[in-house]
Amino acid sequence: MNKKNLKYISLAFIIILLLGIPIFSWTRQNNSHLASKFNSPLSPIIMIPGSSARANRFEDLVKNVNKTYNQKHSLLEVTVHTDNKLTYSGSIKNGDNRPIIVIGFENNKDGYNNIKKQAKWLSIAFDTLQKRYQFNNFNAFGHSNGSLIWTYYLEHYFDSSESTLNQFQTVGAPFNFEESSSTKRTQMLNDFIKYKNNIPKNITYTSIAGTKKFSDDGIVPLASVDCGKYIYEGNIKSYTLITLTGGDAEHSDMLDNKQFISLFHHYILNNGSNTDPEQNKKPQLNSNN
Amino acid sequence: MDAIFSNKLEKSIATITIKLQKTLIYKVFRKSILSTLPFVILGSFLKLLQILFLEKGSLLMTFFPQIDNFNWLITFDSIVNLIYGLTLGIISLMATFSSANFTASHFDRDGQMAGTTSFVCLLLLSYTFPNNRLISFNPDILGLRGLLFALIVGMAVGWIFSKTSKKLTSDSSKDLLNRYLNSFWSVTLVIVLVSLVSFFIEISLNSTNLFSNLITNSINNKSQLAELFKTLLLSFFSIIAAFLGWRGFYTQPIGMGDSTVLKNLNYAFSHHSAWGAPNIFNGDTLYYAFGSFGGVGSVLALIVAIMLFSKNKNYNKISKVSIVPSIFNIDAPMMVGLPLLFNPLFIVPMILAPICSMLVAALGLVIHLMPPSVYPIPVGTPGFLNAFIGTNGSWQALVFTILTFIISVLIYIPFVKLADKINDYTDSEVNTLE
Repeated sequence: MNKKNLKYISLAFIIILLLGIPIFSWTRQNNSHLASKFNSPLSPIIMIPGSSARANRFEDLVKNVNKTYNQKHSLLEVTVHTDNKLTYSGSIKNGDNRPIIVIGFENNKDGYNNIKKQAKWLSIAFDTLQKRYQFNNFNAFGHSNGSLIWTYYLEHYFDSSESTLNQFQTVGAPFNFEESSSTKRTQMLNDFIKYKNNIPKNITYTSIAGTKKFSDDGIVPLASVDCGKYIYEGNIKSYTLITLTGGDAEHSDMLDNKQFISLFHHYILNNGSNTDPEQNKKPQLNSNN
Repeated sequence: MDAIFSNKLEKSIATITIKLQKTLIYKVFRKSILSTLPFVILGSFLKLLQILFLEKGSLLMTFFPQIDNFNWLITFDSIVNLIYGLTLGIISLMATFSSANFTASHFDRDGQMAGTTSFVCLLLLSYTFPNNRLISFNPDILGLRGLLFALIVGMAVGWIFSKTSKKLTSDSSKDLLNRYLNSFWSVTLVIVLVSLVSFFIEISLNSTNLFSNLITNSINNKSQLAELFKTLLLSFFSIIAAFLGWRGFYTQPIGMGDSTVLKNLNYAFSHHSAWGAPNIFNGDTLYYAFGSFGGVGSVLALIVAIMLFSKNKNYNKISKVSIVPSIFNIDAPMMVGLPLLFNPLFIVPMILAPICSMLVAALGLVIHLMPPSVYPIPVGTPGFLNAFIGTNGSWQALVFTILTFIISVLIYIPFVKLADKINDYTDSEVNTLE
């Protein structure tokens, strides 16, 4: 072995290690800085239909939105079965960072007990999806009972250290079921209010209620939707209640309502801003070689 | 011969190597590559200067972002960039000249004229037909990536000269007019031929991408095993392509192309740890971290092996020059100076050392002895530290780096010793002939 060269090589490796110290400390800092403000580019919109609707409930809405705004959100429909198994239909297209994922339930019946079960199934589906697609932020949408499932989920299952809910929107959320007086609170509403502190504070929530003749949308009373304020108002970053009237403002037709579609587009697809969020979402990275 | 080579395997490898070394194509290639050496060394050190201090995103600017807008630095960088572009950037032009020159001279034809013709040919072949009026050439054909192509073009031109022009006679040096006119028809023939070809082909770059896409698409993250296989396959082709002077897939900037890299990064940032990242096998976690110390084929390991165990003066000399750029993964001086390019003896360890290291690392990743390398690595980081920095400073990864580096050196050692013996043998053969 060449002793003279051994010294030379050792010197080279000492230089490497010396260089390693500043690079190492810089990387540490940089990584924690990046991690703190890091949002995964993939930010799905997760939607839950109301009772007795299946995972295909929003197909027309997605088609409609894609056509109206000339966007290409892909649609993945997930059904959670009573044995906790998931079945999929549709897919998330490669490169689509704003896909729409609909989570439906085999048992899609009404009632507080079922909502509890459905929230549990939602958490199973959510965890699986998060593992599979590696996102850490998302928007949530609930139609009718779907809103209740979301609320129960946020209070009991959601882990805010794992992911961030940016925008939350519901349509015709019967927080007090069909009760039209807010003084008569159902067990569910009482429970929701009891655990409201578990809801993450940084949510922006828009609740949309449809009315005809000032009182209800044909099924859900305005007062029941309005009960959402007891859960969300002052508890999260922003809570907005919007009342829609006119044609197609009935409980089930609402998803075809033009006013609704523009609200959905503004809050859910564009994250409440007027510019396409895709534009400024490219992460900046330095890479060697 | 029996006295020098101890066992049968050694002897058969040596016989093949020596036979190959005697072919015209090997001689021409080797001579042509070596003839570019001064430019390669100059270019490599300039590149080093750039990634450490000058260019945007260099190591210095990473640490001190405020000097980013020093005007004189930008001016200096553009000058360095120009010199780099006209040394390492046109290495193939130089090589094609030499290749044609040596080939034609071998057949006693006008080598200088053949060289010049080949030079023009390569420019014609790399000419891109632009929309605007600026003349532009495809840098991939003129740089290190186009070396094989350039050497072949050179030999072809030399060969056409040997068939179509007259032999040089002793009068040639006096009667210059006739000497150069003699080549007129050969020059015309070659240039017309090449102009036609250059309209129809787009070489090097496109075919490389096609191939890489083919592999990436056919194995689309089915399972971890498939990912491991894909990574090994791409690494293998990268090394072969580099060996042939035709750069491979892993020499391009990584990260954006491979979706698994981004997924890993997402995971690491949201979980504040690289442990458990979903894709433990990709270019970042295996090839860059453990399969390319000092450049393609873990050249730094070869340099260490040579400096410790080789008695060959030339090998030692070039290793000493190459070690500094190689620390920062610039492998060109070693590729051209040894030369490693087209070197039949060293292709085996060039593949074996990275692949073995990557397999050891893969094992370490599978049984969770270290986290995968997923974080971004600043430009100018020594290649040896890629795994350490890419894991956000995992000591386990550093231990694996040292382990795999030692494995790489150990793989190179027998080949270095064999190369010494072969060199001794060929030298003694030359001596006895003389």
